[in-house]
Amino acid sequence: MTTAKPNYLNSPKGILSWIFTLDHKRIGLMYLVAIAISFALGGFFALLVRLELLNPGKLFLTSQQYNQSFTLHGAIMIFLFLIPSIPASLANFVLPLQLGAKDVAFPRLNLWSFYLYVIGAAICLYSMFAGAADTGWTFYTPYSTTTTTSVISLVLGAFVLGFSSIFTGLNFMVTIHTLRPPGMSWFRMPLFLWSIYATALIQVLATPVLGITLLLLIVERVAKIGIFDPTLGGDPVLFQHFFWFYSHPAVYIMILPAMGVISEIIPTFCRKNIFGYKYIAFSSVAIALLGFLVWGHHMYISGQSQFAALIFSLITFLVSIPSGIKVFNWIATMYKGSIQLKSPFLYCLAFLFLFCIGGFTGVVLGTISLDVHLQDTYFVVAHFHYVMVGGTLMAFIAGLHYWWPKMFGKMYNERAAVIAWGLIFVGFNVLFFFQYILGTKGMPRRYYNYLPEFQALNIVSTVGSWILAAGLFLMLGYLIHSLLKGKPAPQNPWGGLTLEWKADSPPITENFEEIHIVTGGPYEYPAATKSAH
Amino acid sequence: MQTQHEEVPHPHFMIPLKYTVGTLISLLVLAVTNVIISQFDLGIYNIVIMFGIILVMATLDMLFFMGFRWERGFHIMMFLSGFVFLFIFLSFTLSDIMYRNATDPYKMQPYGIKNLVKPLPAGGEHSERTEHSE
Amino acid sequence: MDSATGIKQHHVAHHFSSSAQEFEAAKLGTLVFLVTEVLFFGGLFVGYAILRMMYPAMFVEAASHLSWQLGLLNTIFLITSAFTMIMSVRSAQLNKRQACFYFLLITFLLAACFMGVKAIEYAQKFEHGLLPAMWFSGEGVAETLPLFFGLYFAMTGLHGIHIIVGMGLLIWLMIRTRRGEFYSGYFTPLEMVGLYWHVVDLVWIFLFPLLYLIR
Ligand SMILES: [Cu+2]
Repeated sequence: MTTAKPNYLNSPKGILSWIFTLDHKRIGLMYLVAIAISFALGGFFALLVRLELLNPGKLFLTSQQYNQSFTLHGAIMIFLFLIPSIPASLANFVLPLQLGAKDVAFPRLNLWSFYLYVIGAAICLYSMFAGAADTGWTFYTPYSTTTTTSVISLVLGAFVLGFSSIFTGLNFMVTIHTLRPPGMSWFRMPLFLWSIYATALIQVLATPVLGITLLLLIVERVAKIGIFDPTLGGDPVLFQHFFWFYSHPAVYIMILPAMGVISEIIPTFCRKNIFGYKYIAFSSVAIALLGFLVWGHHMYISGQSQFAALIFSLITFLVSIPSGIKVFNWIATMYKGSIQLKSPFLYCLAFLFLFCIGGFTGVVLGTISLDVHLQDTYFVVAHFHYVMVGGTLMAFIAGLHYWWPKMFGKMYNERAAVIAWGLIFVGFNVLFFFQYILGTKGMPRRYYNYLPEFQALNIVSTVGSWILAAGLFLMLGYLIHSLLKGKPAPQNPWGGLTLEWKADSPPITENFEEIHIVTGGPYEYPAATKSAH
Repeated sequence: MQTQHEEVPHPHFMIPLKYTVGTLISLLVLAVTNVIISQFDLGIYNIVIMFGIILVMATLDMLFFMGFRWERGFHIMMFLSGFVFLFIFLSFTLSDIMYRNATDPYKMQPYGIKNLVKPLPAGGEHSERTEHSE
Repeated sequence: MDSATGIKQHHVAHHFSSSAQEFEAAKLGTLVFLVTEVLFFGGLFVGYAILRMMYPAMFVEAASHLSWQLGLLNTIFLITSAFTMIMSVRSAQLNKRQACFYFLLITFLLAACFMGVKAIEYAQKFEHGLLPAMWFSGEGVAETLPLFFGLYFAMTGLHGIHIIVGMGLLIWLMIRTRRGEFYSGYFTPLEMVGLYWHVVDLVWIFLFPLLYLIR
């Protein structure tokens, strides 16, 4: 390392140069570390919950501690991991590189966004030790306004994290609008940027409503303004409207960037131009916009009017169309491609498989007549874990492996990566597939106790959680090993064509030595242009 | 080769003085008018006129104070999208609240919501939950 | 610094290729941020609409507890301050540093007047116990009256916080104007704070009739 070429990691030096850095690559890296810590914490609570469910009745947690554990698991995983995961860490690093730009449009706001994340995380952490909330991550009223646990601090943490998310989205949106390089029209942008743009739209348009919702909840507890309080004349279902107006689009904040990662990796590892570029691009935006019209499908049994439920159900079905378009296009891209089964691509395959299962069961849940029975059972738990873990987490790991050489200039051990992939894939399915069955048999979610006949499948599920954890730990191990002893990465280890592969590995502080002029689409592999004739 | 920056028409456009002064005067007049009209009982027309005046004032504020009359269409669309999504939020929520008694035709009031509560005792103690009033 | 005019030349940040690009980014960023503000307040307006639909009579009664005289006075303060804000941007565009500063100062003072009147109004509400339900001790016919005052304090309070933030921004602008950082070639912060100020104004244009002038 003594004679290493200066890059963004080693110049300038010193801890202060990191704390006050305005470099998007360093901020992305700091986000990556913070998000990984949050994920470990959320995973810890997940393991606690699963362990407690080994047998009906008490194993080692009281019912109160159990409620607090699943609340913290949900809140941490959603607000601290899934929402910022791909946009704030990977996209922060990659987005300006793919644009051939020196930085994002507002570097200082970017740093602010990171520190808001840290502050929000710290408040959530404080809340954990000051009588952790037991409301579930959804904070439904009237329970959340009457419980004695520390709802206010957890809600305040989520409120601050919301602003962090807004600023990230705003920054990326303006960056994509104003900092595109000469020659890169909208339809020459890598698809990752399209999906990040669609995500930013949601972050900007939906998150403020979460902000005001959480603020109203805090004010409700402090001063009893009564909007959500039936004893004062308010309407508790109104809270659910407020909450899900953000939180349904929020699942697209989580999944759209994941779809973007997949759209990047598949053409690279198939050596083939993406099939249906415009359809994938527009379906991202369509998902983002349609996602705003379906929030009531979380409220079929909450007492909302049948009229509203009908509309929400109808539009929920519509969302599956753009998602389906994407899946078909990805599969069509693989067709007759020269596929390299490297670890990022393996994770893409896992994504496709798991996301399809999660998506189909999502349509099942969008159907009112079925949802009335399946609502609040383990079927729902399995569904959203298939989408969020099987979808977002798999894509996050895929993207991490894909851009890891670019970020650190080191290669990881491919064989270890494949073994970890196997463990994660198998562990995940053992963990969650049987929860579909438990759900259809009627086991309710969030319950401390369950009927003895459910125990066998619960044990299988808990064992799955250990396999998944083992895979993740193996991944942590070989990634750290690659940092210390990994082989130096070439500039373009996978043969990608997007601009970030034209930068050094790791890139210099200013990203590029020269300005790149874009003359064509992002994935124009030679074989593909030949077969087009 | 074209970049998107060439479309920016007048980045340093100055709003003519006659528009700003005119807007100031009309906004003040409209605000006073709104107050005056609210002093008379015109039945349903009160709210119609009130919203009419609010909308005119908001439009004037955006057109001439925020300078949207001379702004790029894309920027205006961006800003107004906030109102569009607000409208979505409001209308879908109303589609629930307004039709809720349809789920419960025997009650002549929104489903599950209490119209009447006992007045709160002084000091703001949590009042007893009351049963349905009818 | 140019000693004759006292103007400091602005330098474009390193990751932008031109000042036009920099301005475009600032403008777009500000507008997008203001969209989030609209939606942030919008949540409260949706809450208002729903409650008003449920209890129309209560809202009429509640409005009679508010003083439209003070509300109108505040409306005049805010609209005038929006005008002086525009004039300060205009002065910067014409390289009139002194005028720019004084218009900012007037805007600031008008905002302070707004907050002063607000304080008087709040004091009256406290006196009559017209507060959110936790502390409500007022007298009224409608039993759901505390709901309105919960909403009233939430809405005007949030708006007031935005005014205070705006006042802070105005102080920052005044300092920078004194230093001569704004001139015909660079006045982006002035214009952006101006946009913010007009949106705060816009919110009040809705708030005032909806809270004070219900019949
Ligand atoms: Cu949903």
